[in-house]
Amino acid sequence: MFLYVLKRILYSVPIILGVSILTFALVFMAPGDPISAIAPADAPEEVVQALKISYGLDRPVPVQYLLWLKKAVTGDLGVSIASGRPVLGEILTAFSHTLSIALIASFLGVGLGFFLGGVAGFYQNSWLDRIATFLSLIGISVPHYWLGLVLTIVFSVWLGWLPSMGAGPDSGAFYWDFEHIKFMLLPAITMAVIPTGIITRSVKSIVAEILAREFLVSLRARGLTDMTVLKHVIRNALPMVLAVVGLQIGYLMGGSILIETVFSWPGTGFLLNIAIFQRDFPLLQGIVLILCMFFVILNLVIDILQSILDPRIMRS
Amino acid sequence: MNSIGISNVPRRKTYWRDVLTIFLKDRSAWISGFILIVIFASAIFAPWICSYGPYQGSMSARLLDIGSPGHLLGTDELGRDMLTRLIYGGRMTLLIGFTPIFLAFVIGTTIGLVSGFVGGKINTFVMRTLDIFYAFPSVLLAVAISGAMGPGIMNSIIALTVVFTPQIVRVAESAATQIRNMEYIDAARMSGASSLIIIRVHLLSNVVGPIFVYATSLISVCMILASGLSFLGLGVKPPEPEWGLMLNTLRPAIYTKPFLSALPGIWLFITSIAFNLLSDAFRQAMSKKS
Amino acid sequence: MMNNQVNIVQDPDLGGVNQPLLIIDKLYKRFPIKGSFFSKEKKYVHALNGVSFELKKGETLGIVGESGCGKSTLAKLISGLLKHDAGNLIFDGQGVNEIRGISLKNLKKNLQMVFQDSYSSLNPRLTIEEAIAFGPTMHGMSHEDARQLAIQLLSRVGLDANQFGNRYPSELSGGQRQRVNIARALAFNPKMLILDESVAALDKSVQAQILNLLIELKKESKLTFLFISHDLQVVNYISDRLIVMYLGQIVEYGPSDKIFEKPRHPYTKALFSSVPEYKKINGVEKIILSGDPPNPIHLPSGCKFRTRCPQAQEVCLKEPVLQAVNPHQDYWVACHLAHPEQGKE
Repeated sequence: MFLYVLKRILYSVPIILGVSILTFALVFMAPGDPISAIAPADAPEEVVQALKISYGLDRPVPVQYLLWLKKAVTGDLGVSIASGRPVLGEILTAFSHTLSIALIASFLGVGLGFFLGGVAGFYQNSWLDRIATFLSLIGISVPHYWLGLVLTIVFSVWLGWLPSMGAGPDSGAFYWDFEHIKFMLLPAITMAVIPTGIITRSVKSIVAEILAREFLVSLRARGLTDMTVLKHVIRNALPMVLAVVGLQIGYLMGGSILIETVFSWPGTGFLLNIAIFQRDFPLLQGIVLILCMFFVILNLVIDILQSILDPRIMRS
Repeated sequence: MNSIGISNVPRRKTYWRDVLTIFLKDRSAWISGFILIVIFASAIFAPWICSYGPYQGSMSARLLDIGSPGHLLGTDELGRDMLTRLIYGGRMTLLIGFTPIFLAFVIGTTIGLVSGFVGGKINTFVMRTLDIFYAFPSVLLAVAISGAMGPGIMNSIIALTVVFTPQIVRVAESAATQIRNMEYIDAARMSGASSLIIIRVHLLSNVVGPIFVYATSLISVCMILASGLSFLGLGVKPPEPEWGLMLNTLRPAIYTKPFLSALPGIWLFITSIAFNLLSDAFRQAMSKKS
Repeated sequence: MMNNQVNIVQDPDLGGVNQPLLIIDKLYKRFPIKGSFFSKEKKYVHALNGVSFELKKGETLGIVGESGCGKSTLAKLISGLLKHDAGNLIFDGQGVNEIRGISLKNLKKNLQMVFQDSYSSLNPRLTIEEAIAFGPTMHGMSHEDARQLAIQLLSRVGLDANQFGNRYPSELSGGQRQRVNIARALAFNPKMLILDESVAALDKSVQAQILNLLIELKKESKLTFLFISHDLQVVNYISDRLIVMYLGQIVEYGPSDKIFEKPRHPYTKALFSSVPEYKKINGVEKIILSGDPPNPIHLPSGCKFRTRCPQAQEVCLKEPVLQAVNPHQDYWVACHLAHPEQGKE
């Protein structure tokens, strides 16, 4: 068991390294040469030269990468070109904001998804199943940024219940009162829609598949109550469901840019947007790196949890 | 049999025909197919259908409501007819929604099949490299590459192809790995056929079905992501009509003209539902056949 | 009315008239097992541990043994699907290791195999005709000729081409599929056919039909067969000579009727004693071997069979050698008890 965990952790290291290489390479995908991406267009020559040296752009590319990596490992992701502040600090603040709405959205998505998916899986082909399936189809088909706009129109423009933008006073710091939470509601609900759709589908198919397994068919035939069957289903389904849920959290964190742009929610996605349009590469690279690391570590944790729940997974 | 012994019985390609038969019996397949044909046929024949041009604007006719005389669905913030722009927008959607999936399908299937068939260290290397791409959430990868490269249709297509190819490689590789241990592959090896021929004749026809179904299920995701890139200001640039871009430019108008500003999203939504229904129906048909 | 028969021309025998078609000389094969993370010692499954025999042209050689004795591995090595670790494999006078390129292709033409699972040995997406015609097209035959050949062969194996040619494997029964597999192998006009458990998955009545078909084909075309099976009765029915294998080695090797009449190796005796007909004829009690077959990862020292042999003795700690039991040199046994002089060396 311990060996498996160790192996799994060790395996993540080359992945993160690969991610860092790709992230570093982003600068080179930009049109023009890297320095024009980093230095402001009208910068005087000495500034450009100084920037070149400080970024190591006068050195060969692999050396540049290693220098960047060395600094990144110690927590120095550079300084944002636009704001002048250290990148890491800005990202972490934004990360906490995204995390708060992502967690709410996951909570909603998991709850609703489990309920709808479970109902659909247990009572297949009933009208409950059809409704749940229909709702999940909507969930995975809807363009979430458009949904955000629609919800804004309904709840902000027409009803005036909720604010349409921003993180409110104290810039998203978390307090348990409506004045602060109301800024979170629309973004979180919008975020929850796609995971709900996906989780509903996954739970439904997993539940249906488990119920169809012969041993359960015989259990049900022998008249065991649905409660016992339910326990069996949950025990068998948990590892797979865990994977789906974890993946959704990861995607929410990684893909928050669209929703955060709609609501001007100061999270990592919004920051990414700013970074792109200001050609702020240190910020861009920093955000990508941190989000990916989060994703990789999340997957790692899920794998380990899964193997605790179902030791057979370790052997595959 | 005629005199020189060649069989006159016509060949029956029954597998795909059977799948198609089951597919066509599905009502949702008809509905979604109909929707898609309407959207894309109108997009292709747009110049003949629409009475306005997509760039034709008038400052005095800005943001007219739905149902205004001469403009069935109103006008946008530059006075251009909404219905026209929505219909023309289908072209962009076709382009940036389909092309990456098509490219990913071709490239991904090739890499996945060859890697899966060859096996061994090469396969391990390919799959491990792919794992690095999997460490990026799809939206993040698309935005990062697109953002780094700058706005533009080509850049979006490239970014999206990079996002979706690894997923298809994975499906193709797993299918190839399953099949390469079958005895008919052994028999093909013993017939003196080269690996390339074995992949083409024996492997491809057996795996292309599931891979194709998987690829179609990715179309709606790609479409929404592509429009999302345009929504962010990457991807398609103004004044091109594209539904995501239109959502962006109409955004300031949500306070005054909410219905109008939500219109492009409805088109996206409907198209996406149609693709998902289609893909589901196809998957069901294939699983019923086997 | 011309009825031209299509055929692949068979290569002349490279090895000369008197040379055996297949020579196996001290063949070894082992498979590495995936070790755990920290183990330095690599473990192997020892599938073949020094197998040697010869196969003459026109002969039918049967190979019997329980599962795990290495017979399927042997089939894969001979057919070129796997590479051997040590020893020599000489087909038609040419060492298989040395053959490259075009010659390797020719080897594949002269040597064909019929597999056990009739279903997974046929591509589900090809029609029967296409499946049979594929091979010859790889050797230069045109598509039309190949299809014609396929039709000819279908009738030769007893299937109506009109009815079956355009069907898919899933539409045929197991016995019909094996006929197709035989036809596919014959399409190459091979010199030798390996049949690896080809009738094992079939019902008894169908088995008999396929076996009779094989015997017919043997008489018609003087094909050489290597027939692998775990079923003694089947093997006895069709083979001229017989090899009995245990844990990757040959324990008994000789004319099948002589072996059946009087097996000499304790393992062979035990094997045969479980066949009902044999008990009836020879009135032998069923010998039940003690214990389980040893782990092929850790082979016992000396005679591999001694851990289960009811007649094991101290001399069996020394490895027995395959030696002839008669002056004709056509019947060999690897057992100290059959060659009392061996142990004393």
